[in-house]
Amino acid sequence: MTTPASAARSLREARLARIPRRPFTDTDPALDEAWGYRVQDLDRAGRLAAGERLVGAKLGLTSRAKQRTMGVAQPIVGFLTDAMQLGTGDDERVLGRTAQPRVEPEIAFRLARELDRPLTPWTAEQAVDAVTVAVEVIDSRYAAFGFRLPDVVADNTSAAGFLVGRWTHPRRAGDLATAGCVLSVDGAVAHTATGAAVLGHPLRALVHLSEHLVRRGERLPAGAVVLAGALTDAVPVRPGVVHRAEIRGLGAVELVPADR
Amino acid sequence: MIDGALVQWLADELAAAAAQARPVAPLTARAPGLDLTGAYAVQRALVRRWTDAGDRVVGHKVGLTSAAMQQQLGVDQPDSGVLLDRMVRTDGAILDAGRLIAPRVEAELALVLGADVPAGATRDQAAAAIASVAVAVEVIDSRIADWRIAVEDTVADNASSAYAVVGWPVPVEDVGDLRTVGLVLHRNGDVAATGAGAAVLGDPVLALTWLARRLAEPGKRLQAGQVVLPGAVHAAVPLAAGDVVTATGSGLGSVSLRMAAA
Repeated sequence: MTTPASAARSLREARLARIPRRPFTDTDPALDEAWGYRVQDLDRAGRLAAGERLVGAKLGLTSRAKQRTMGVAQPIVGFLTDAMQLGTGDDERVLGRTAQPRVEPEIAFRLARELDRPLTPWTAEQAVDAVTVAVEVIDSRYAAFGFRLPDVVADNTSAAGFLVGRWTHPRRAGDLATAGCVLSVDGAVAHTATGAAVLGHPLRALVHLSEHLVRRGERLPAGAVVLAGALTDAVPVRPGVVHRAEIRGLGAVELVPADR
Repeated sequence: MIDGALVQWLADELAAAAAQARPVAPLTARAPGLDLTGAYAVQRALVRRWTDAGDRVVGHKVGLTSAAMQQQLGVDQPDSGVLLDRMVRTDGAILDAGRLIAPRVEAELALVLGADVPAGATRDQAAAAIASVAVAVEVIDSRIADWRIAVEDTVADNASSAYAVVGWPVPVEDVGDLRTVGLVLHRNGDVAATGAGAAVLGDPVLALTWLARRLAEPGKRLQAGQVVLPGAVHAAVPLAAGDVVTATGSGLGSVSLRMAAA
């Protein structure tokens, strides 16, 4: 069996060299989700030791369609560091650091206080002091995004980068379940959805995350960013092109990567 | 092109198929000369049969408004059909499965016109003609067996329309930008699909300008008081006997239908 340590090492090499590899489950069909999280934990520890700062968490497989494709009934969780955070002016870094980047529109929450206990659908909103539209750049360390559940968990749920819009108070954002989301590429509509595409309501992602953290004896600090999960299918990231996500009540955010 | 007798024959056949909920083979396979102009002629003959029998035209539906659907049928423009009074139902409608063949549902906007939309209307003129907006569930059905449709088949078949369950209209000023109005379709309690207005030609108002141009002929125009379904915002979802379907829209509330057992 591939040890978590050697898997974490090969994933790091694949990421830095920008050369996708074969999924571990091809040769080790017995690997499971718990193994995937052990690899992810080592990857995180390595990045933090190298000076990166933990800034939040992200959820994956939050749509029924994707859960069915992967044969799971629950979302998966990854971590976000400051090195993944994109801001005005440094969007060009995206293509220079990724192998096969794709972008998807998301709803992002900011934690009002430390997340250290299980939330319910009725208390989740109180755990949040701001919400916004985000684009997430995903980049699998496996060729053509071909992976099974343990592989993608080990690979930090394909996390690569994220760009958040202007924060809004949750009470001013309106109903997130019915808020329309439009992903466009150079002005042409690529996909649309609403917040309900994430587990029926995006706050459900926060509930799931709280349970995940409690189960693992972890916590997230106040101010941490939570990416609730993709609202639509992803589109490939292309240089010089305007990738725009707009969500009703939350505004819009644009990613315009320079050529690598 | 096909001749007038064949147009009438195909319209009669489609009317019988709809009345008996018994599908027919694709028209395009049997009438190879059937082009888009001929298909709209069949649709007009079909609608005339219904209006002669007492049905009233209350609006229109636009279809094939997404890039995905246009690619699937190999066309580069939408199509349209006519909504009759008996096809438009209100919240809580119970539909009879025995009257439908292979129904599917789509959450849609319904645009209620407060003014006529002339054939050459600009986007902003068409937008100004919208008085109010409602959320709707459109039930589509094909009188062509197994949905084996070319664009001419669905156009002749009144754009595969069956029912529109339309909610209470909200003044358009209170709705704002139609492109970001989100629509959620629940089937039996689960989220079956979601989408936003921009899925319709990038802007649902463009369905109105397209429709106004298409209807341009003497005695025909898009009229005040009519309701227009501008197009689906997600792939259609199959509807089975016993299903309860609800569409919810941003600021528009929700509307439900139930499909009674056959």
